[in-house]
Amino acid sequence: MIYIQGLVQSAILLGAILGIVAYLTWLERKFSGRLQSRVGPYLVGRPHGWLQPIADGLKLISKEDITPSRADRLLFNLAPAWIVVVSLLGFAFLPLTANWVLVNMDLGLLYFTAIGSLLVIGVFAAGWASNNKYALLSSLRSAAQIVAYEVPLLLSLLVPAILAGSLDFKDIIEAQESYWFITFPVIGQISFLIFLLAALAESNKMPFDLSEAESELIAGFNIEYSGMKFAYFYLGEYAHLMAVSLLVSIVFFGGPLGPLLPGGLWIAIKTLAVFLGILWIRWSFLRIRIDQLMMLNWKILTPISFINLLLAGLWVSLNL
Amino acid sequence: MGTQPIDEDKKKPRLGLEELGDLIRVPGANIFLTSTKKIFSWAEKSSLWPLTFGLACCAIEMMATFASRFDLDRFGVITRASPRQADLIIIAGTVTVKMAERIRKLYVQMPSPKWVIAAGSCAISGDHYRHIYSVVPGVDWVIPVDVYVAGCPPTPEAFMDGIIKLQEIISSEATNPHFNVAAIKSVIQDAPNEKPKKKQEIPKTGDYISPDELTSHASDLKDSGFDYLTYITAVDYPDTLDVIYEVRSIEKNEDRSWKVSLDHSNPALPSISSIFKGANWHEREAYDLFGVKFTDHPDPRRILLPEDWSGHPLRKDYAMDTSRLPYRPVRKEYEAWKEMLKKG
Repeated sequence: MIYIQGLVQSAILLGAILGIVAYLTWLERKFSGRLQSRVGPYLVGRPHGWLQPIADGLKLISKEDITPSRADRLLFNLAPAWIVVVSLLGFAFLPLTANWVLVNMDLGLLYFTAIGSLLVIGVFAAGWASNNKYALLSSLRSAAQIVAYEVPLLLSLLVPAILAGSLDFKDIIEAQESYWFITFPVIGQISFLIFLLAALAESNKMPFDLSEAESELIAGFNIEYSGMKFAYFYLGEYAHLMAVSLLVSIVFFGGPLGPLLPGGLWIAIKTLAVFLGILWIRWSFLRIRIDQLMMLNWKILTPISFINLLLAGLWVSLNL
Repeated sequence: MGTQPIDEDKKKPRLGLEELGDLIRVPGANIFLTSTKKIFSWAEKSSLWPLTFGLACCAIEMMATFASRFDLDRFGVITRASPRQADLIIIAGTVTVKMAERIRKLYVQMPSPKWVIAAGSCAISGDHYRHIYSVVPGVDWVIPVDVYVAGCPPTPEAFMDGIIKLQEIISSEATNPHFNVAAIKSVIQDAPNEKPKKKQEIPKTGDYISPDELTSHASDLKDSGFDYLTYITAVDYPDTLDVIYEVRSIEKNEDRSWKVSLDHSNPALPSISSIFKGANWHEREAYDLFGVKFTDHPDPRRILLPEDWSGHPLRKDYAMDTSRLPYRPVRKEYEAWKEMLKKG
C-alpha cells in the first residue's frame, strides 16, 4: 500500500513539475520580452500566447530525430535521458509545504547537492558522444565550470545548515521561524549572493553560459541534438533552474513560512520570485570570459565563502 | 530569362501518417489521424524556429524584425543557432558561390519538415549582382524555396508578411518548394551569348607611356621623392587593356599617375616590384582579375581566386565558368537525399 501511495505521489509530482517547467519557458519568453520592450509570445493562443509551450512541444515531437552517423549511439541517446532524470530527482528531497516531502531524509541538503552535481556527467556524455568539435569544447568548459563552482556552492549552502544546526530541510525551515536566513546580518546575505552566483554558473546560465556561448560554440553541447532529444535538454535545464529556485526559497527565504496564506502558496510565490530574479540577471548581464570565470571562482568566491563559513561557525559556537 | 518553375517536389517528407493510416484498420482511425495531422501542422506553424543566419544587409532588417519594435516572438518565432534545432532558414542577402555550398550543407543538416524563405532581391534572383562571377543568381539554384519576400532590403513588415504566408502554406499543407531548374538550364545555354553587344567610344585621359619606359619612369619618380605606391589597377577598354599606376609623395603631399596601354592578346609588362615592394601584391591582383602578366615578378600566382580558377573575371570577355557554380553536384545530392528519405 505504501508503495502504491509513493508511486501515485511521485507521478503527481512529476506531472506537476513537467507542466510547470513547460510554462516556465513561456514565462521566460514573456519576461525577457518585457525586459527588451517586446511583447513576447502573443498570437499562439490568445490571450498572450498561452498555447506557445504546447505548440513548441508538439513541434519538437514531430521533428525528424537525427543521430549523426559517426556519433556514439548509446551515449548520444542516453545523455538527454540522464539530464532529465537527474534534474527531476532533486525534487524528491525538497519539501513543498511545511510537512510534505516525497522522500524525507536527514541529509536532504547533502543529497540534493550530490545529485545536482551529477548533471555534469550528462553534459559531458552529450558533448563527447556528438563527435562534434563545438560540442566537445563546450562540454569540457562546462565540466571545468561545474566542478569548480561546486566548491563555493557547497560552502555557501553550509552556512544555513550551520545556523539551523541540521542538514534536514525540515529543521532548516523550522529554524527560520523567528527570522529568515537571508536577513541574518552580513553572513546570510553573503552566503546568499555566493550561492546565487555559483548556482547560475552550475546551471550554465548568463552571465556564466560559456558552455552555450552562441558566438563561439554555436549552441554548445546540444548542438547535434534535434527534436525531442533537444527538448529533453531544455526540460532538464529548466527543471534544474526551478529546483535551484526552490532550494533558495527554502534555505534562505523560510520556505513555506509566512503570514495569512497557506505554506504551499508561500513557497510557490518565493520560488517564482527567485526564478524571476535569476531571469532578470540572465537577461541583463553580458557573458564573462572563461579566465574571468575561473578567477572569480578561485580568487574571490571560494576565499570569501571560506571566511563566511568560519564566521558562521564562530557565531554559532560562541552563542551556544 | 525564361524562368519556368518545374514542380518537382509536390510534398516535402513529412510524418508519414498516411502510411500509418493504411496499417491501422480501425473504424474512426482516419478521423483521428486527420485531426492529429491538423494538430501537428498547427504546432509546426506556431513554432517556427529560424536559424540564426544572415548574409548581407537584408540580415540587418531581419534582426530588426526580431527586435523590440516588430518582435517576431509574437508569432512564436525564435532563433536557434544550431541547424539541428531549426525549422526554417531565412536566406537574407547575396548568395556567393562560396557561401552556396555552406548554405546547402546547413539546409541538409536541418531536420525535416523544414522550410526556406528567400528574402530580398539578391537571394531571389541575384539582383544587380546577378552577372558577377562570384554570385549565385538566386538561392533557389541551391535549395528549394517556399516563400519569396521581395524588397531591397525587405522591410520588417515584409518579413512578417513572409512568415505569415509560410504559416498559411504550412496549415494548408500545400508545400510546393520551388527549385529553379528551368532558369539553370536557360543560363547554361545563354551564358556564351552574354557579351556586351554595343561598343562605345570611351574617352581616355591621363599620361600614357610605352611599356619599355615603365621601369625607368618608376625609378625616376621614386628618386624624386614619390616613395609610396598607392595602387596598380587596370581597365578593360574595347580596344586596349590599360594598366594604371599611381604613386604618392608623402613629404610633398602630391600624387603622380600614369598609364600603360596593352594589347588584349598578350598583355605583358615588366614588374616594378623591385622598385616598389608594395607592387608585388598589386601586380598579383592585376594578374588575377585582369590577366596582365608581369614578366619578372618574383611570385606570379593568383592572389584572390583559387589557384585552379580559369580565366580572369574582370575582363569583359570573361564568360561565367558555369562548371564552377554549385548547382550541378548540389542538385544530384539533393535528389539522392530525397531518395534516401523516401526509402526511410
